[in-house]
Amino acid sequence: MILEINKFSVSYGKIEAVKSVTLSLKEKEVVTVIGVNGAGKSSLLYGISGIVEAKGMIFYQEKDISKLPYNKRVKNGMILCPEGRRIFPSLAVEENLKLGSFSRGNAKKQMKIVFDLFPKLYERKKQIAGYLSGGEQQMLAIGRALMGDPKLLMLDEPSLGLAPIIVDQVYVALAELKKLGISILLIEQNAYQALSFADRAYILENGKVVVEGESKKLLNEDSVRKAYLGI
Amino acid sequence: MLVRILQSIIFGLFSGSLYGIIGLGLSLIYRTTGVMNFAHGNSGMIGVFVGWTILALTKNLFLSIFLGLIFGAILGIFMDKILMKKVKGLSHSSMLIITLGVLLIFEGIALIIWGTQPLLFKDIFSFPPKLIYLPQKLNPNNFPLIIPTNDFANFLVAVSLSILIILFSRLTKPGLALIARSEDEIGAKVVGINVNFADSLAWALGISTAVFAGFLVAPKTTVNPIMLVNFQLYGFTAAVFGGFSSFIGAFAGGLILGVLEKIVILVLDQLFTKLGISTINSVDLQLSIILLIIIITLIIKPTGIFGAKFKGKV
Repeated sequence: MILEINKFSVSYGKIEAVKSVTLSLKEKEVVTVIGVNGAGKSSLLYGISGIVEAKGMIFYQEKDISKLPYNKRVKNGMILCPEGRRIFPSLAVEENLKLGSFSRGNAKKQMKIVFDLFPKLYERKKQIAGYLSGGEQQMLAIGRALMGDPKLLMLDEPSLGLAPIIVDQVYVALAELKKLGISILLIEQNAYQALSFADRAYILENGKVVVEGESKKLLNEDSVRKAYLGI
Repeated sequence: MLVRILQSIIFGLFSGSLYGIIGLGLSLIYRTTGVMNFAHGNSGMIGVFVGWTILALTKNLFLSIFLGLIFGAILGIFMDKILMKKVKGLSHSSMLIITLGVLLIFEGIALIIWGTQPLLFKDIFSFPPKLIYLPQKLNPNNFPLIIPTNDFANFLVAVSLSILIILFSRLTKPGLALIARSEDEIGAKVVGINVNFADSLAWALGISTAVFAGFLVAPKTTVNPIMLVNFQLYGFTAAVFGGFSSFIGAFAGGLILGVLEKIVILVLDQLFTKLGISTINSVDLQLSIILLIIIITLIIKPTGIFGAKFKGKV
């Protein structure tokens, strides 16, 4: 197991966004968490990466990391590509990527991987990141996460706000990452995309896991199809 | 006339470099933590008082300046870690109100401990001024161009300091952490930057530069509780003028502001002489000119003369 959380909760003041979630991820596995807006998906990732405080047990590579601050978690290879991209808008594409290797990862080596994966970023490497299109910014955000040579890559809605053709491009890139052997925890509203891509899936509703299982099976289950795929 | 214009530019660059480092410090704290530090000048003033006291005790100028700067850094960390702790991330306006309170408290502390009597501070550099005579052709009246060597040395020191800070922010890891933090907080966190460290660093560096500017002006203004009040305003104008978007902009804004101010004074002086007005001394208008420049900049180009690289979502 690369990641295991048990009775994991995230609260903002009195509001409990993630309620006692239990979830695990094997080495090299792709797991997705799907759910509607406000189900607590992003809070779950913020909790796992340590950016917001969380209660409960969390093990990374079999070690208890509940006391580890977020910057140390990054250093150990748990890297989040956050909701809303959160790139550095007035820095150039290249500078954004270099900052991705701030804590770990060999900048030169990782940059080659990123440029191979997203040739567009190579073309635009001198451009100011804020002026990239939405799809390019998403690629940059994923690229920046890759710069830290992740062992566990957490992606928060990489398809949000992108045209369908760009979403496909992003998922082609994610498939490449899967081949590289990176464990991926993917959060999505776009249930069809996520379920087709992932090995296993969890469905989150009001901060709780309501369904879990192999994603191919869930894709064919009537209740899931009705609620999340609109079929 | 040429001599007077050149003279204004030289004086302008010299005073502008001081506005520039105050502006740089303000911009450093503002860009990183989002707080406009109203207590900036007074924090610098407290640091200079500490330096003055150490100087009085040890008679060692460089040791006192060094310890004054260290004191400034500690003061900055104190403001970040203790005063801002509870309100950080809640609202920028409450942080701003805290700095307003600190401004008054520091002034009070200085009055209680050191009193109102202006204290003298040793010149860091003391050389006689240099006179330069331009060739007769350009300078029919044969007026000399005065280069106050002390101010020139201050200018060089201020320029080097700002270049050092800019290089630090571009080339070192802690510096890059500052830049990333100022661009996006969550973005900085996900690449593994300790944001609390970056905030403290910005405060420490920022207040230290204010203390440093204080040491440079102290021989002229004397050491007193309001020595940096106007300078803070000038520094703020420099940062607005240069645009808060970059550290280098704030410093360059200071230089341009200094020159602009002296040129406006010169023009007004000529105008008043022509009109035969002798009751107003144009030098007294310095503060009004600065304030006018803030207002004009904010109306015409609120992002500053250098503008922002990225002006928000297109």
